[in-house]
Amino acid sequence: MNQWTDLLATALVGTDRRPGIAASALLDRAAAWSVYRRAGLRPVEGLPTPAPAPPEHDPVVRTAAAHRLAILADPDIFGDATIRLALLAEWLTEAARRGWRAPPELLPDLLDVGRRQRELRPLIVAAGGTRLGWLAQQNPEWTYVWQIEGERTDGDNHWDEGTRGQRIAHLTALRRIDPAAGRTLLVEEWSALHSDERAELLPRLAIGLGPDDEEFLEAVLDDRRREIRTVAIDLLNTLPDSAFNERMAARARACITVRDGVISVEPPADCDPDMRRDGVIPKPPAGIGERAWWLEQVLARAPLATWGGPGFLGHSIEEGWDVVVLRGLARAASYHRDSAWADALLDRIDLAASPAIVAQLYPALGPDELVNRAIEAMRDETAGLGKLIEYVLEHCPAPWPPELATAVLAGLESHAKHRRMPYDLYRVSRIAALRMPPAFAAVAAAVAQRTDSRGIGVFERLAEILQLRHEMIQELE
Amino acid sequence: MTAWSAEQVLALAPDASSGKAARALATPSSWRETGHSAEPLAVWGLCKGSGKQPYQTCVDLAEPAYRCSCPSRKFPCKHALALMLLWSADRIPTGEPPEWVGDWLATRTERKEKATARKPGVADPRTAQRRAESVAAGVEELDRWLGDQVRQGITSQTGYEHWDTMAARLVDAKAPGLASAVRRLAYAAGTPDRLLTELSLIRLLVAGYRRGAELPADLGATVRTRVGFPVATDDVLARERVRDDWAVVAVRDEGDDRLTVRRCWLHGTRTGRPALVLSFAPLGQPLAADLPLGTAVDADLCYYPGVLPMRALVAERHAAPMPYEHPPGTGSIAEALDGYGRAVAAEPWLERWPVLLAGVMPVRQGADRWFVRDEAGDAVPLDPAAGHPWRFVAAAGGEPAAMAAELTTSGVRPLTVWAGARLVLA
Repeated sequence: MNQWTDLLATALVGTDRRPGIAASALLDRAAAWSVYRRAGLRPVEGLPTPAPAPPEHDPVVRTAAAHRLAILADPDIFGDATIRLALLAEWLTEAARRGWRAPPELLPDLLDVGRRQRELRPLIVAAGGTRLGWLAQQNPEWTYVWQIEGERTDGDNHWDEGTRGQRIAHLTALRRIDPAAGRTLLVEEWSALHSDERAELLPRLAIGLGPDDEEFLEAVLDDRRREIRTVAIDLLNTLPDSAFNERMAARARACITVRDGVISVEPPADCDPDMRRDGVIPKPPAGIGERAWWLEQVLARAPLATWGGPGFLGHSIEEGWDVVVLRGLARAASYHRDSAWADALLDRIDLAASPAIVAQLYPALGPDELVNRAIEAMRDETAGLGKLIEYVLEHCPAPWPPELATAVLAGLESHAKHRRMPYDLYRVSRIAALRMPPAFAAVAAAVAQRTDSRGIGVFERLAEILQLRHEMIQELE
Repeated sequence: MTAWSAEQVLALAPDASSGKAARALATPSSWRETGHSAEPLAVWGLCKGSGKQPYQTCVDLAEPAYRCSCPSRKFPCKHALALMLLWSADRIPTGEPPEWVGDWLATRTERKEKATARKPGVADPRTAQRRAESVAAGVEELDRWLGDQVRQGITSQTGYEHWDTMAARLVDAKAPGLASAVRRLAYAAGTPDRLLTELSLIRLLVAGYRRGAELPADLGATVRTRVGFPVATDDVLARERVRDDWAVVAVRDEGDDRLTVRRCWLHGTRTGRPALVLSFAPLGQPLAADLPLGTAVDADLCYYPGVLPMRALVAERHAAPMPYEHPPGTGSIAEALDGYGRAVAAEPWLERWPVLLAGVMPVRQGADRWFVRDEAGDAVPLDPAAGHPWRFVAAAGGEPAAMAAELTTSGVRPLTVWAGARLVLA
C-alpha cells in the first residue's frame, strides 16, 4: 500500500470496499507522492529538430505598416468587411510590389483570412515571404497555399502523392512549361479520377491550351457530369479552329441570314442529340420560347468571326427577334472578352431593358472604353446613379485615371445637391473610395466641406477612406 | 527616452476592443497639435471626436498616467492609446507642453504627494477572531468530506453539483481559497490520477492549516493564503522592499464573466527573482496599465508573505519604464525544470511557475501534441489548453527563440516570444 498505483487503485473503489488503510492516511501518502511526482518533472528527450524555414529575401515592413496590417487582418475592427478586405488586398499588393513582406507573426491570421477569401490568396502568398509556404505545410487548413505557390515554382513531384491542392498546383506548373506533358498526365489518370477531382483539374488545361488538346476535350463532352462538360465546352470554344466551333458556326449560319440589309432569323427546329452534346440545354427558363432559347445558346457559342466584324450590328434585325439575337451575341462577346463587339453591342442594346446582359458586357470592354463610358454616365445628370453605373465603375481598373476620379466626384456632388437617391450615392461612393487614387482625399474632403448635411456623411466617409489609403501607401514607401 | 514598441503600448489597453479602436485611430489625420517632451516626459494631442470640440488627450509617460476629455469610462481610453501608438511609430514631433498639459501634470504631482502622506488603518481583532473560528469549522467539514470521497471511491461522484455544494459551504465558511480548490476538482474528475492528486493536495492544505502554529512563518503564510485569508495591501507594503530593474516579461489578461485579472510577470534583472503583479477589474472596466510589456522599470517591490515569494506589489518607482532589447535571465529547459522542482517542493500547491527559456522552438508530434524543445535537445510538453502555437511557430520560423512562459501541471503555456528582434505575444 505504499506505491502510487496501489493508492490510486484503492481510492478508485473506496476504502469501504477495500479496507486496510484509513481514508485520511491514504490521502496523506498520496499527497507525498503528488509532490514527489510534480517536483520530479523531467525533460522529454529525443524529439526531432524541426526543419527551419527557408531563408527570406525581402525585408519585413516597418512598424507602422505592420500595425496597419494587423488591423486589416482582424475581422473585429472595421464594421465594414467589404472595405476592410479591399484595403487588405491593397496593402498586400502594394507591399509585395515594393519588395516588402508581412511580419511573420501575422502570417497565421492572414492564412486564416485566406481560407474564406479566395481572391486574397495569391496576394497573401506574394506578400508572405518564403515562410508562408513553410508554415502552411504544417496546418491542413492552409494547404491552399501550395496550390498557388506551386503555380509559381515547379519542384517536387506532388502529382503522385500530393494533396488535391498540390496536384492542381503541379498540373498548373507543368502546363506552363510543357503543356503536352501536363495533358498526358491528366489523360492517363482521367478514367480513374473521381468526378470532383476531374472538375478541379480540367480547368487547368486553359493554361497553354492548344490544338493538341482538342481530341481529349472532345472526348470529355461525353462525360457524365454537366459541370465537367461545360468546362470542356468553354475550352473548345476558345480554340479558334476547333471542330466544336465549326459545328456551332454551321448551326448559327443555318439560323441567320442577311437579306437586303436585314437580319432574318430561322431558329433551330429542334434540339437534337448532337446539339445537346455540344452543351445546348433543351429546356428553356420560364418566359422564353424553346426555339428562341436554342437560338440564343447557339449564337452564344458560335465564334463571333462567323459574322465578320461588329459592323454586322449595323443591320436591322427581323422584328421580334432582336432581343434574342443581341442576347446571344452579347454572351459570345462576354465569353471571349471581345472589346470591339462589346462596345458595339452596348451602343445597340437598351441599357435599361436588359441590365443583366449589359452587366456581362462591361467586363469585356477595354479599359479605355470602360473609363469613357463611366465618365459619360457620371456626367449624365438626368440618368441617376443606377446599378449600371456601379457595374461600369467596378470594372474600371484601379487606380482610376484622374479624369474619371474628377468626373465621379463631380457627379456625386451634383446628385447630392439634387437630393436624389441617397442610397445609390452611398454605394457609388463606396466603390470610389476604394478605386480612386488616394491623392484625391483632399478634394473629397473639400467636397464634404461645402456639401449640406444630407450628403455630408457620404463625402466624409469617402475622404476618410481615401486618407487612410494614402497613409497606408506612405507607410509602405 | 526611446519610444515604446506598439506591443508595449497595446499591452496597456484595458480590453481587446480598446486596443483595436486605438489602432484604427492611430493615424496622423485623426490628430492635430500633437507633441511630446522629455521633461516632463509626456505626449499630448487633440483628437477629432464626434462632437464639435476635439478631445484633449495627454499621457504622462513616466507612470504612465492618462488624461482625456472624452466621455469614455475606459482607462486608458482609445485616444490615449492611439496617441501613444503614434508616438511609438515616431510620428509625433517634440515640442513644449501647452498650458492644459502643464496644469494637469502639476495637479498630478500634488496628488501623489498627498497620497504618500496617508496613514494605513487598523483592523478589528474581534473580526479576525470570528473569521478564524469560521474557517476552522469549514476546514474540519472539508476534511470529513475528503475522507468520504476516498471511502466511497473517488470516481463515484460526477457532475458539477457535487463539487459546487462543498465549495459553496467553504465560501460560507470564509475560506474562498479552499472553495476554489474544491471547485477545480470538477476539471480533474475525468482523470482519476489527477483527481487523487488534487484531493491529496487539498488534504495536505487541511493538515497544514491545523498545524499552523507549528509551521515556519513563511510556510504558515502560504497555507493561510491558499486557504483564502486576505493579506492587506498596507501589510504587504510594510514588508521589506526589493529594488531592481524589473523587466516586464509577460502580460496576460484572464477572466471570467465578472472579473478580469491582468497578470504581469516580472523578472529582476539583477536579483534574478521572479515576481507576479496582479491587477483586477470588473469585466469591461479598466485594468492597471502601468507595467508595459518589454520594458524594465527601476522600482521597489514588496512581496506578499509566503514560502515562495512570487506575488508582489510595486511600492515605489524610481524611473520611467525603459524598453529592453533582450529578455533577461533566460536559461535551458533542464534548468527551468530544476527550478520548478525546487519551487513545487517548497510550495506543493503551486499552479503556475514562470520560466524564461533561451533558444527554444515548437515541435509537433502527431496531430495536436506540441512540445517546446531547446538546443540541448530537452523538451517539455505544451499545455494543451494553450491551443496550437501558430504565432510562435510563424515568428520563430524554425529558429531558436527566447520565450517567457508559465509552467503548469499540464505543460508550458507560451506568453511572450522574442524571435530575432521581434517581440511577439504567443
